[in-house]
Amino acid sequence: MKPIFRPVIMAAGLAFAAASAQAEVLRFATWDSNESLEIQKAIAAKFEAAHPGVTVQVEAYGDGYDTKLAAGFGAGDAPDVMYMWNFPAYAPSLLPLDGYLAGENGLDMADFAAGLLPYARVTNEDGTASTLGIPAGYTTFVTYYNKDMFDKAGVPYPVEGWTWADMRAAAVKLAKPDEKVYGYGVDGNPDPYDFETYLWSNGSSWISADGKTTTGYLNAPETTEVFQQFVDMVKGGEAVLFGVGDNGSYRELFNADKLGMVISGTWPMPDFEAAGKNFGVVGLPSFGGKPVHSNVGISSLSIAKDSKQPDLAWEFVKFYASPEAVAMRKNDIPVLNSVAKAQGMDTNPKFAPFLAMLPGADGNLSPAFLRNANWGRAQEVVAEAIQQIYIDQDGIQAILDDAAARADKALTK
Amino acid sequence: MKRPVAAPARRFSSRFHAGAVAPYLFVAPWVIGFLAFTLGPLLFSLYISFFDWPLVGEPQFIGLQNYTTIITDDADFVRSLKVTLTFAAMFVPANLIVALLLAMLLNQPMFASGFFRAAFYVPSIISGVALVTIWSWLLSHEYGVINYMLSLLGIGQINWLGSPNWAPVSIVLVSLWSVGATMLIFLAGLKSISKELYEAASLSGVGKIGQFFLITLPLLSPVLLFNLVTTVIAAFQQLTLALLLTKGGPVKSTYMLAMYIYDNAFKYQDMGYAAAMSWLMLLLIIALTVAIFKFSSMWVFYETEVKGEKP
Repeated sequence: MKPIFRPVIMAAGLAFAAASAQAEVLRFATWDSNESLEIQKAIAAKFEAAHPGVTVQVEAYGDGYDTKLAAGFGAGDAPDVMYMWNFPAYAPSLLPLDGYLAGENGLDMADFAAGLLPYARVTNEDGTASTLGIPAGYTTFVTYYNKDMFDKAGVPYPVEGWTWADMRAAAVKLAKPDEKVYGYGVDGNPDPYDFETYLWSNGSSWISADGKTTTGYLNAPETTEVFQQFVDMVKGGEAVLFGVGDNGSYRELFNADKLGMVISGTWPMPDFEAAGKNFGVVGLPSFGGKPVHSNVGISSLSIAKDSKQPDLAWEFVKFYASPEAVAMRKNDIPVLNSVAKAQGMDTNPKFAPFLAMLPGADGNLSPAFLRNANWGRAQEVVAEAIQQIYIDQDGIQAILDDAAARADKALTK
Repeated sequence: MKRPVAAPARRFSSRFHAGAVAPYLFVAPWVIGFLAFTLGPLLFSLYISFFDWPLVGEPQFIGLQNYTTIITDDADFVRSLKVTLTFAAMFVPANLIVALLLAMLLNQPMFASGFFRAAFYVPSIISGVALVTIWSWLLSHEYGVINYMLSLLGIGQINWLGSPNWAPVSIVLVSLWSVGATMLIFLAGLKSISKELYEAASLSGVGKIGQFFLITLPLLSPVLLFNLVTTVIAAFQQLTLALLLTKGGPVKSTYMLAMYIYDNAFKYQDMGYAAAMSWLMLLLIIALTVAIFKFSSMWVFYETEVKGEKP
């Protein structure tokens, strides 16, 4: 693929160079930091090399990404190309890409991992749908387990198709609460977006499919069940509650052999590798055999509607989605099936579970923020309710009932 | 009659004489900065508070609707206001007392007082972010040094940042770290009190505690008033610590008004609503300040005035 691709890019680059003799600056904003940021810079440098006269200005906003980006749009000074996840909120300012996708200089979407595409599509007021972003990298949620701890306790490793009952049985055997050793780590302050994974897997969700109400979803019996299980795990001493009053993270506990299992995306893997941990990766446990659905954390690339150089921006976005660039991203899972295959990820036991957890393209399970543009305020209510549940560790149904009423009000604001 | 032409001409030229322009040039950077970065945005925020002003999309004029919604139909506003008032009720007295005690300590003639003065002030110039990082380690539930020291005293672990009851206390505790500015102003006030007054009081047999209440406090009262007003304002504007140390949690127990305004602006991108709330906060601070000044005549003594009945 590479040898064919390269000249095309070069030709396009020459065309641009010819069109404007002067140096063009393309602004690209990312929330990545550290190694991931270095990868972005390397990809941008590759693009520059293929497009003489073009300078890509990589702007790393880090933790304050949304604030900085929102302020940029508000001030009419937005970057040309940017990382994006919250498409409904930014939709009025983003350039619909359908024209480019279908055009002469289009992009073949067939090679993209199918489950990713619905995340970057929004439904317009007139009922039509627009594609506002192209996926650049993603992660699903998996279970990491500490092999040394399993070996020491004589517990067999988890296997695909396992259930939460299996997980809890293993956690009980691994845990030694008086030595502050735990089988599992429960995040006391999770991102509601990530947490919806458990609701989906138990047949619930935060919000109705039409995005109109949380009542009957946020406070459904299936939702309560999920929380009750995590609270029981903490109360029973098999799991540690983290993220409440401590800045120590589950990664440190895992690396110190004090935590047997934890559920996360690709994020902690470089840490575990760097610490030389002997760890395994397995898919999410199911709730009594119900189908497991993982949420997906995706970094997509979007173009600002007001960009003065949309064609160059599209060229850049296209380059990001090229096998060459996708292969350079080492800190998440490749969005192109061909690249994942070429890197042997489908057979690598540490990566195969991530691919297996990716949902199909049916889009029936779309995250709450895609279902209602006002979800931001409602999500605050949900986040608060989750904290309350883990602090009180009691009266879960009442907390969720109250939260559903308040979240519904927030949706109308 | 002949009109005196020369005089106005001379006045004109002298007005634009280099020497007359120079002062304005010197203050210009501040004045321009003030107009462009303080007064301008201030007035603009008043303007956008009458709009539904999303960061992305078209603003829409809605009159007073932002204000009426905030006052009549925003439970989070009321709640964050309560959190702010609770914080102020703890922070203001604690800040004033600690600052005054430190200032009195530093006012004693002692070894290396200059060093201590600098040492107590240094935390005030440390960036809030660094401060928060340090304190989040100190206050950590399982691994924090404060809980470790308490355990040596036989006191059980306190979940400083993870319990809705303790988190507001932790914020007060951490904000006391930057008590330096208040302390310095107190110290300057203490220095200006004449030593002879204390000597006279000692000769009359008034003890140290009596001297504090009869001499120090009354003569310091104008300084106290100043510090009280600035501390109340600081309490209402507290954002950094809530935002970084506790993120407003747990369960919104440290979700202060300034943070709610910040979230409305940058998280929910509702600039008009956030601006309206800022102006309500300003009105509230003005009202409080006016109230403090009104009651101050009861307890503030200026050296020039004579209050009959009081000693």
